Amino acid sequence: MWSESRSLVMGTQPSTLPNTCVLMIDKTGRSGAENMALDEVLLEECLSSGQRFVRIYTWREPTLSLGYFQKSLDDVATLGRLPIVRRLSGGGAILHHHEVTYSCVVPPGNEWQSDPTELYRVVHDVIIESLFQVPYECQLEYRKPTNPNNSEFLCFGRGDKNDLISEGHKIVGSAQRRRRGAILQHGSILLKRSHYTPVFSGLSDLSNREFDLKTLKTDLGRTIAESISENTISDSPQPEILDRVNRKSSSYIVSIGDDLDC
Amino acid sequence: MTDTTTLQYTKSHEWIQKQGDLVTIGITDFAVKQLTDLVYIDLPDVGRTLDAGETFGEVESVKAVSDLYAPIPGEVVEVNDSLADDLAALSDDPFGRGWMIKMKVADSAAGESMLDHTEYEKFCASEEH
Repeated sequence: MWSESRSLVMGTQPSTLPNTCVLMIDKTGRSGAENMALDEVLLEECLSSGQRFVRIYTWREPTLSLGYFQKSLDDVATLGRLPIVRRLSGGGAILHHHEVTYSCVVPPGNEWQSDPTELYRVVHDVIIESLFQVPYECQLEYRKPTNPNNSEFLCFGRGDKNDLISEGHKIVGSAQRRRRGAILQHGSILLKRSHYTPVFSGLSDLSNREFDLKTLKTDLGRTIAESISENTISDSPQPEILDRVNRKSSSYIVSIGDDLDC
Repeated sequence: MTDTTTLQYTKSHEWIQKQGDLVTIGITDFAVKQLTDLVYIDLPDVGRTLDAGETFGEVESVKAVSDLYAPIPGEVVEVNDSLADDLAALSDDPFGRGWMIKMKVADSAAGESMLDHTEYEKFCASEEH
């Protein structure tokens, strides 16, 4: 698998299979800094090779990720002492606890170039479809168009028309980084209420059922990859990718007292 | 009112206006329309030296952060600091009040390979389809 994927990721003819996506489903959680650095490295890979990527991942420990422009840490103290990282993408802070995160990367010249916000709908549409199927049987829908509420510190306290909600509760929120025509989009799917943020309910709370995380990650990965590409190749990050992640990861860590000027 | 036919453009939707060795840089109305509701902007400090193609700032809209690129190399000599508190200027007047930075360039020929107005309009039309 590696030799096939290697030629796609590092090859000199990225346009050979422009609609092939490398799907990476992490078996275990990584630290927040590693997760953010890996998403950036895949964005860089996409820019250099044209390769599309989808990742499905969890976080090693409850972690707060700040939106790129979130500079105030005034609200962080109310959540307790948690690792904090800064995302490349915008939007509000996310508490990554009892949730699954997806990321997808598409190259310059992609189908959503004229309106990159359409990628939110493409991915969210398949999340709705995927989670409606057995064994999940969850009904998700888009939030009714309303004035965006961007003042809340936490993403799940905010609202815009691309959010997915269930019984009035926000379940899925996504954000993007656009770089030289490529798009990195990542999003959080809230599975269960966290004691750090008890006001937000997850899918399990609303359906009174537990979901098998491994199956859920596989189903989401496959459907999201199919939504942005014609062919999917499963792989995992290779040593040289992980070396780059290790070199970058510390830059994502935010400490209380940091000067957060971007 | 800026005469947009006298400007030069990039495929990443920046524009430049040259006045001797001073170059004013911003993003086009097409870019602003694509970005829709802008909420944050970050611009460089005066004195920073930029290479052509280097990121000089970021803007956020609809939870998306986009990089801004210097079309030509030079030194930042002035920054439109009022934009952070008046992002409407970008939507209302991207070629005027919405300017972002001014750079001093060493090479007077810099930017000559950029698109002229007609070429840029054609490029935008092709991006929309």
